[in-house]
Amino acid sequence: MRNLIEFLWRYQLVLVFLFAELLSIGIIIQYNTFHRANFLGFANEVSGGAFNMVNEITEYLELKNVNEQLAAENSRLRSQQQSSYFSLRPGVVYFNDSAHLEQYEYLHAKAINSTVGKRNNYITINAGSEFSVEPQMGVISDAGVVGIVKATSKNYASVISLLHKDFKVSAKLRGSSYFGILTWNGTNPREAQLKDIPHHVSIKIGDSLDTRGSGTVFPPDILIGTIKEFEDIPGTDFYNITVRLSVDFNKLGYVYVVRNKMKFEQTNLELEAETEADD
Amino acid sequence: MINQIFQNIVRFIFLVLLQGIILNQVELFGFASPYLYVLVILLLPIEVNPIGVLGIGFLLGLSVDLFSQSWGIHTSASVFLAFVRHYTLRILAPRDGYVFGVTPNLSQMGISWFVTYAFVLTFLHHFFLFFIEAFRFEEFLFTLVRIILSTVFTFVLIILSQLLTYSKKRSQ
Repeated sequence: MRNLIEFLWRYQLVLVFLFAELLSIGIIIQYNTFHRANFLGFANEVSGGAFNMVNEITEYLELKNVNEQLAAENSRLRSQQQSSYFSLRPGVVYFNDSAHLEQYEYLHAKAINSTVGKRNNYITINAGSEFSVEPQMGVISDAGVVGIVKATSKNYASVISLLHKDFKVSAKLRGSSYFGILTWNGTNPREAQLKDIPHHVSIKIGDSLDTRGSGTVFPPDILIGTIKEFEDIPGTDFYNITVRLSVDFNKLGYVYVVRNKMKFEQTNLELEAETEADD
Repeated sequence: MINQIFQNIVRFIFLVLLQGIILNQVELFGFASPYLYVLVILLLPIEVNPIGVLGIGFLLGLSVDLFSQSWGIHTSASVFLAFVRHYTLRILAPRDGYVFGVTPNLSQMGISWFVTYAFVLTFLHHFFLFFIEAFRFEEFLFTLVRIILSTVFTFVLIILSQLLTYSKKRSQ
């Protein structure tokens, strides 16, 4: 017993160090499993407030770019309006008619803090639970896919950027129904990697990739990027594709949070089917 | 003594805010970031109990994590820094031991001592930090490049900040 106490006393510094290190690694692991929403929400509110203040100042410097971005988007949307289409045949089905149900709702927000240089990058946006932003909602910008909401507080939400170890999205080749999984390997913030596209599909540099819309996070046919280069993986049936991302995370401005109104219907059904299959 | 405690608390708050609001946004060449907050640990008086330094390191890392949304990553790195500081100080001790009440900064310890001390500790901290952040050894070389560039970046900022607050207290 005395030896034990002596031992503990002699190595107290090492023991306290190991304890503190275990504690912080515990925090890291805990946080990686997405169950920290409440705690993160509090931290978001504190740091979000500080970022907001800084952002209000820097916003002025960015006004010119933002204006251009908004104007470009306005013109694009205007060109999609019903009034911009010449009706060839009366009786054509319009998107807003009663035979169609609006599935996706978009809420605009501003990215007030974001990083690109880390292995795992996050974006803070200035819309939170007050505007019914919830975890697992998709975030896009006018250029394409940006990320997935991870945690929310009253006025802010923390978004996992596409440039993150845990971010995965189903990407579909435009004009075909082949799809693969897009991830980011941490090297270049303008490029991501696409796997699982089989050899027999003919692809070429410059082909566009869209979201598949199979999960409940992103609507289908949102641009992700274009093929920059590809190579065969020897010994497998798949390509290794490098994708040039359409979003430049270095100058992220306004973004849109996507609410899928039929999310619960889909996830419940899929869950039901799964549990039945297990029985 | 009271003055020294006050000075350290102010430095803690100032560097955490500086790191959280400004330095976290700085990314040289896209992947080298400065982590100047290590100065809080580096400049603690030598007499502070090593376990107390661990505690301060834990609080410091936690505060920086709060701004970086990187829960636990800076905490573990900064606890590690507090731990290795004890041994670094022991190895770098002058033959007659340290003068009581001395702060390990540039003006009191001299340039060659401080450069060794700051560079070694900054490198160890960054090494730990970047590997905890990546959490795997797959991209080893890339991570190493980031560590070295970031270390140099932080180190330059440390020396600059020391030169800015340089005072000729050494003659005392």
